[in-house]
Amino acid sequence: MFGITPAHAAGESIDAVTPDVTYTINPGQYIIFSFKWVCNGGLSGPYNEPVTGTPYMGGQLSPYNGLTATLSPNPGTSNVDTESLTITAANNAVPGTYPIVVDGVGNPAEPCPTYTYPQFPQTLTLVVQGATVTINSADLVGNNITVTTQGGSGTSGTLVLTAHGASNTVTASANNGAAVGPGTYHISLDRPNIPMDTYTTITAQWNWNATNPATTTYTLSPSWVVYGLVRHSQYNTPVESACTPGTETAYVVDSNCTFTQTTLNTNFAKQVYVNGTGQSSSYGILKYIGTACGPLSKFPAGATKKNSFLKVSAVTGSCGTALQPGISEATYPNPKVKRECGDNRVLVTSTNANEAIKSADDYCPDCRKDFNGTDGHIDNYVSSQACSANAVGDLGNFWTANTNHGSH
Amino acid sequence: MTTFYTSPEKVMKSAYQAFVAGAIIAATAIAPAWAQDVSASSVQVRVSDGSFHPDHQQAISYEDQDVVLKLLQESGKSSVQIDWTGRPRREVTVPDEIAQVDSIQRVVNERALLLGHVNASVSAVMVLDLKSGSVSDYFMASDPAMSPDSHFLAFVRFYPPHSVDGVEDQYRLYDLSKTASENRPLLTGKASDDTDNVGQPVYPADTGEASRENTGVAEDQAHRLTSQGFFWASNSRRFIFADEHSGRVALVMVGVEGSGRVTAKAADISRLCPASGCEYLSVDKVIYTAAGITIRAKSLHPGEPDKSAHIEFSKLAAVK
Repeated sequence: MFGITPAHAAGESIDAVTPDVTYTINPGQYIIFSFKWVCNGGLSGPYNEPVTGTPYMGGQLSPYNGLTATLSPNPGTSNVDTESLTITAANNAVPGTYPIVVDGVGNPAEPCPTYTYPQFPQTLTLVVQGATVTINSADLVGNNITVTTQGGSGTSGTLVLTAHGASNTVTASANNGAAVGPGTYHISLDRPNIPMDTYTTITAQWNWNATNPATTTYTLSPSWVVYGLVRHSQYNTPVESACTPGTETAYVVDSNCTFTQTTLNTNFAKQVYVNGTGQSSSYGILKYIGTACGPLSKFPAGATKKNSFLKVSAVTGSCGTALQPGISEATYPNPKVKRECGDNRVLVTSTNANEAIKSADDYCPDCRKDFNGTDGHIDNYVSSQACSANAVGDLGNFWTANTNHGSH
Repeated sequence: MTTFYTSPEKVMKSAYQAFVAGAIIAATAIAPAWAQDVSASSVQVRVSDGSFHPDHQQAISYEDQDVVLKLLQESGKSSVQIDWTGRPRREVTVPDEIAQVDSIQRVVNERALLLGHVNASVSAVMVLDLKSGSVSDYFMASDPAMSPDSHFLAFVRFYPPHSVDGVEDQYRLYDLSKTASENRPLLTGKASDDTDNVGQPVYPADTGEASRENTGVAEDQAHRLTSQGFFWASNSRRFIFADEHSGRVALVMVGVEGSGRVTAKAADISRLCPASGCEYLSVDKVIYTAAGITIRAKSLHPGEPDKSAHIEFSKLAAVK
């Protein structure tokens, strides 16, 4: 601990502690004000006065908020002249502005008419400056956490961020772990190595003082739901014009469940059946009929669930919205049921670059499994103009996180 | 004997391991990253790694003391070459809609089982008659898992994976020793070419499977598989899976007799559901012991702890 002694001589402190003068110290420092209470008149003429009483700190008895004020020598223990006031800010002193009041009494045996320096109560203003750190924003997609440090000139220390999950913590530092001074910093995370977890807070610690670092906690709202390394498979809407030649009898069914016999490409019909939808050459988008028009017994003769297809206006996912190639993805559980429709997921490469930002728009029952050694499985809708899935192999394995979970 | 299956990706491999009658399995050191060689005694099998890359079909093969099965590809067409010692070489065409072949292996009754994918979500199952060099059955499914003795295939009945409302997982069993027609007990007439409604229903028993659809099912009525596939016991007499229905999860044990007759028992394990909901529960490890089953239930929602439980066989109640 080190101290500051205002530049004034004993007995002149009245000038130094006038209320309009503010003194500033940091936690871990102390400040000494030299006082001599000189009694004018009275029984013994001018004399130095022992003073008793307890300084008030911000309206509270000392000690308060890590600040301690003492008169020295302590008149309460030895009847000697009081010559100084020392204010000590502990390492954990709370930054702020404190009016300090020395509200003492003189020697009751020799009542003093007036004091030369100073009169009671004596007041001064002390600012405990300290250092602060603030997390301004946290953007996982942009991989940018903005942090501001504030403190006196010369204040410096390492700045460390920690993201807190239910069972994992992840750290990152400004300036590659070297000390930084007051300023604003943009810190990125090593996203591919953030483990699967739900992260709810980020703490920042600015180690400007070894025993009293500045800290702050930032609440992530919504939380970052990190799925870890995820297998991303792909699916498309098969296109009839891309299928090899060959036709078969089929039925196109409108929204009134009117069956119209026609012909469709044989391979295309198979692909609509195994994928769920298809882009036909003559009837627009066709969809697996399922139970939309009642049981098979209500179908016309020759119509089956494999050769009867509903005409629809758009390829929609379980969320009821049109699927967007390259953006929409299908997840498990059903995003509609879990109120995750439209949740954004960022896909990140092993080199920490963004691969894509996707939207949960569809259900993928199969994605409960087939992780292939990763932490999860998501199916991605693509625009491949192919007849089958032969052209839509896996997109790859990417670190994946949901950045607005449950905010819809 | 205790069987410990560690992951769904390994179910097929584990089934094969058991098939080779307890012989020591060793991955070939020179196996490329995209394929897995499994070798034991006189049997050599190469299966895919489970990822879906139809434009990079992996080399798939099977070989034992009697037969060599090899996937061939030419001009975008796939076929299986059958070389049975002392018999003429035969070749069986793989249907076009099978975009990727994942494994071929010999099963019971001089048959072979080909497993593949028609897309990233739907599996294709093709049963080959090795004697005649023909396809004896072909259908689509999800989560096919063969019994260690290569006699049965547990699977989820096919439904289109996308843009279909109200899908339900219906659990089926296929007897690889039987014909296509015999494996379609719910259908009448000319049914052996049905690629959808295949297999014997195993759970639940009272759903009226013969007429029950697996699409258009109300959300609160639908059954959903909540385990990482099916977990067979090493003796092939039972398998385990977890089923979520109406917000509850049941651990289901299906007993399988040699004749193919099945009996299902179940125990409620909803207490293992994570805070985020039973939909997120996923049983990913099963250990069979003499008296019961130890399971691990993971949460698919990040940040929630795993749970485990031991269920005594005596606590499993018959499913009516």
